[in-house]
Amino acid sequence: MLAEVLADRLSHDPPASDASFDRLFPRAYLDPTEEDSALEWESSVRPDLAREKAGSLTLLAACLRSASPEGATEQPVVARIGPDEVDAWLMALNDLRLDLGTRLGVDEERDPTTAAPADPDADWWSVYDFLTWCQGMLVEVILGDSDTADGTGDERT
Amino acid sequence: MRSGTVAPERVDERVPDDVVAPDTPWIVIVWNDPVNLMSYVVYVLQKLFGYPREKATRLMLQVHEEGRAVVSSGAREKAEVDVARLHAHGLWATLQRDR
Repeated sequence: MLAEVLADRLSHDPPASDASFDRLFPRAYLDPTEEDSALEWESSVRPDLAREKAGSLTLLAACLRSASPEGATEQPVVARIGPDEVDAWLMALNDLRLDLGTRLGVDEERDPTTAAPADPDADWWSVYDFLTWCQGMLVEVILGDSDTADGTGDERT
Repeated sequence: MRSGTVAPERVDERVPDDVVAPDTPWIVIVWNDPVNLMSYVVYVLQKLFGYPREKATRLMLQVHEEGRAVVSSGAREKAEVDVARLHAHGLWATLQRDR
């Protein structure tokens, strides 16, 4: 499963040069005079972030596995997301999109409705668009819920 | 206002560029990127900083239209925590001194 593949990658040492990795873990300091702070960040904060991201991806994969029993590939998958799992889902979906989008070279001008079928990456674009749809629906539901909550924006049902 | 002492004629108050006061506030900047959904950015800004929907939406639009927006400021330690949480949520964020 895609989420498990990314979780596994994040659990290992970062590759020497990797655009997806650079996007998942951007530099915290742009100022070249803060190079020491940037290195400190990479050694102390980045590993925690990698563990957290891997944890969210693993949870997403586990939810989907328990929702789709082996051999039932033709059945629709109904995953129930508890309030405590929503954030992990959103972060995992977003990290999958960041990874895939970076590899595919997504840009703001892209129109998913005019994708060329002959594109060798057409299948991956379909996955990317599906993940985008999933995340968009989930955010819409959460933001809609917080509209009707007591104004803290933190209540979800 | 009068004071009991006579001020010198000229006081050089310029601070060299390479000397920055330790209490200079730090700012956290979120940068535009082609992946993050506008609604998701609003959600993250509301959740992490407790901003009302209107403010979170205004900041998101500033990121989208101007390429960047300052989303929080304060002591360096706080700015680092904010950037770490933004990175955890997949937003492209950096911190720097507010000069």
